[in-house]
Amino acid sequence: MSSRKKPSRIEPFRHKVETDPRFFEKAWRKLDDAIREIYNHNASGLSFEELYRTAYNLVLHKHGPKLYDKLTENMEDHLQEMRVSIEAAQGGLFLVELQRKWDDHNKALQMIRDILMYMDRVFIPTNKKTPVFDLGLDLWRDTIVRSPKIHGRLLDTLLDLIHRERTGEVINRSLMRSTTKMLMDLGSSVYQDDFERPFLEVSASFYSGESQKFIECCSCGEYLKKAQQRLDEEAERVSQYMDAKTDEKITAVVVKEMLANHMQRLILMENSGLVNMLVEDKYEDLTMMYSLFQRVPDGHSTIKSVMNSHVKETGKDMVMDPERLKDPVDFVQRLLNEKDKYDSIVTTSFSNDKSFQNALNSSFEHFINLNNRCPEFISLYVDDKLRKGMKEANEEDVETVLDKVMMLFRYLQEKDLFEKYYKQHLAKRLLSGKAASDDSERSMLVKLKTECGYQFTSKLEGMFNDLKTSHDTTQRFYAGTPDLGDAPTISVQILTTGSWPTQPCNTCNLPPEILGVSEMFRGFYLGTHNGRRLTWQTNMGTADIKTVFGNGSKHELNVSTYQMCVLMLFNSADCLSYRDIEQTTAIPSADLKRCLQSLALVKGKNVLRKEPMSRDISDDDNFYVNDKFTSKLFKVKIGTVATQKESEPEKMETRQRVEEDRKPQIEAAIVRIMKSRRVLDHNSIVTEVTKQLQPRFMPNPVVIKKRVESLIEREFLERDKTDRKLYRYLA
Amino acid sequence: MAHHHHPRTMQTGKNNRLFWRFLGWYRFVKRSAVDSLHAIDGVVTFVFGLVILRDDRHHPIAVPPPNLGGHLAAMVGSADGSDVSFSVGGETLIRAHRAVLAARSPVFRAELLGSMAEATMPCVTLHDIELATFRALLHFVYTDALPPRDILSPSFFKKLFAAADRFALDRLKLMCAQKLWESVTVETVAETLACAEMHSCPDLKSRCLDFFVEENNFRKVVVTGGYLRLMQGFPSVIDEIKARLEI
Repeated sequence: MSSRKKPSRIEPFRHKVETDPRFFEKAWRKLDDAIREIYNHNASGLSFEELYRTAYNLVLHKHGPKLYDKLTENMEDHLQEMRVSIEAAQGGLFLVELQRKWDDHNKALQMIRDILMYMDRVFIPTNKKTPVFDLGLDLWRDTIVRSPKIHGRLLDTLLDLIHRERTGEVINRSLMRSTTKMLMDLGSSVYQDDFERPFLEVSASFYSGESQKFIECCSCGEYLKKAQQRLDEEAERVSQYMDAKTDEKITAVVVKEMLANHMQRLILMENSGLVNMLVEDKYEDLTMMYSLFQRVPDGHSTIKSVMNSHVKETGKDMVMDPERLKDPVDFVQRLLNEKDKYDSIVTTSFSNDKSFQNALNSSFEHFINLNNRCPEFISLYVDDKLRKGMKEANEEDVETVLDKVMMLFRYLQEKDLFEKYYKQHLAKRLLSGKAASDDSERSMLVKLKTECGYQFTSKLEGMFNDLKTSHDTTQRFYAGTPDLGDAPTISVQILTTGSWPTQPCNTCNLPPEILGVSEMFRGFYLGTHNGRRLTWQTNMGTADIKTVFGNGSKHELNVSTYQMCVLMLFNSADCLSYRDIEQTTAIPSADLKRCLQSLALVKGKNVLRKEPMSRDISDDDNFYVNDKFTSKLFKVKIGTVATQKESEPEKMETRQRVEEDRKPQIEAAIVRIMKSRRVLDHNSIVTEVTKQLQPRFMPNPVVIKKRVESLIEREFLERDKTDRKLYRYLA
Repeated sequence: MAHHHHPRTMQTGKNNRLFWRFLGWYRFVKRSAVDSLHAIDGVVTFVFGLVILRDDRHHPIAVPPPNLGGHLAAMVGSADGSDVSFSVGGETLIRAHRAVLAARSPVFRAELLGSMAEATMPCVTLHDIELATFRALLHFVYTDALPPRDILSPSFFKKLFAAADRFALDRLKLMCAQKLWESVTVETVAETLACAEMHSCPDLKSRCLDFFVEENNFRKVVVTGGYLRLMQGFPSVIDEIKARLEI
């Protein structure tokens, strides 16, 4: 760009400067004619090169604005002609004609745009005008689609066709598709305002009517099926001839009209609603209800709450029914069956929805704790399963059952009560040798430990350890002690006091044969274990006695300790009165009477004979050996009866003990909390204590209050001087 | 070390492998033996045979440089596969290929692949364009480059510039604009400015305006013929210039 450069010879820029005043008109006429030919389907004879060049020259000479305006006018004129012809179409040909003209217009528009490409690229952007193609679409929209006569008719035709299809007629879908596509090409606002919104409104009233009709005559399951059908149908309809975005809008309409508006009525429908489906395990209907109401606001929560109240109600009936309470094992089995039933419903129909599972859990927890005998019954159920001779043959089945029982266990609020019963029942099982499988017992302990922590099961494990140790000790006794002569063989189980349920120990005079060897054992044991005390628990234990009856039959009797003491007496006497027996054995009378009843009054096991043959035992009754005793079996078992559920007084006693045990636990919790918080008000203490102890039991607020007062007396806490509700920890 | 194939093979020393291995080889000949048997006038000649082994992993396959442009350039004006001819400046027929032109210019696409006459005509007549200009245009269409000729005058570029604008070849248009800008002088700037304004090239226009209003230049430009034509044909540009000068 140096100005020193030699001036180069440049021809002045020559261009065909049009000085012809009618330049524009001539040029425009050419274009005008060409456009007409295009609209008349005669484009193939036109020269693109000439037309393009004409438009190019116009724009080059700054005639852009005029050209643009002329174009607009021209297209409007053509469109007006088309409009007339569309309006004239009759009946079903209306849409066909509209479609045809739309195609024509589109094709023409492309060619017009091509011819006017230079104007599109140069003039339009700088002057912020609508590009040619878009201009053509806008004009179509304003002149045709939104013209008074066509606008309403178009919408009515479309909606009418849709209605007919809904009522079962077959319609021309491809025509529908091309018409809605036209609306979409004109802009999403055109599609939405001129078609979609009215379509949704009309659909809403259609489905409102339809749902009203169905709900009067259909059962819940049938209605749901119909609703599902309609939803599928609408989705298919949209995919075939509407914009994809309409799908979720029409779905929302159908859901609202058919489901949301009738939700309560459907779910609570008599004889076919949710409750009926639950009772009769109608998995298909339940699955449908779950998936359909997923789309309805509050749908699932309504289902959950109806299900909850039903479960709670039937559960309550189940646990409070006095008939059911007579058989604890059956009672628990029913609970397990109920749990199984609802578990499979949640898995099959509710696609394992966690919130539903949680709802069920809380319902179960609610009704199980309505009956405070449940801890005892569940323990009895486990006891039944773990005893010898149970029905489940293999270990896997037992495992499954125990796992299910653990689920029920989790619902218990008074887990410490369960613990007490479990300990009792376990002790009976272990000591009477009725625990069927050591593995199963230990497996149950592991489950309890996992659930409640090691403190829960440490004592229980102690029981197992005691038995093992006892076995070893007995063996060492026999190995280490010199010849015991004819003394009966004993097998001793040494129980650590803290681990086993406390039993009152009663008096009982052992027969001399037994006494001798047992005292030798005591000496042996205390020799190796200093500072311990051994007490014979005569209310437990068994004995095997070889018997020869008068009629020659020989049997081996398996009896309880008390029964052994009684029977041994008859080695030295033929006839003994009740009073004699009582005096000699020193067994407490209630136990003694039960013992004698089981020896004399049970058919097939009556090794003794009583005179008189009455059921009750009075002081003067006489007992003889039943020399006529026969039994098919060599070994006859006349043991104690199986674990019964507790009688009322026993139950009261256990509960009392549990309540007593709870007091120190509550106090420990209070002290723990106050030590860390230092100052706390009463309500907060109650809340915190409840939270801490909840895994074991639900503490009673009244009891908490009493414990607090007791702690104040013992100067662990003090009341605040100004605020009576505030407590302070005293170090 | 004598090669053991040679007839006058030297016996190598004992294979004291362990020791000599440190040196990389274990067969050696004593110097005294070499001296006595092989030295000629105190000179020993060693003959080697060298075998070079090639490691193919580090020897890549040579790929020749791209040649798309070259192949396409060969097509310019070629009759092979040609499906259209252009008649430019009266008589000359230039052969071309619709697909290539349509790919490079929307105007040619509309013309040659559209629905009007030219789409089916074997020969298309182009008006208002010179043969040389069209040839250069065509060359650009096929090769993306200007024709390799030295003397291309600014006036030639002006015509090519207009043609590129007309046929929507934007890159060519800017290449021409650059060429015009390179050769601009106080004599030519007014013309160039008019050209830029007529064919809507803001880049060229703004540079010309800047050049225009420079102190030294303006006084010289206003006396050129180009300036006169600018005043006649493009009064809005004159206003812009005036506006610039007032700042």
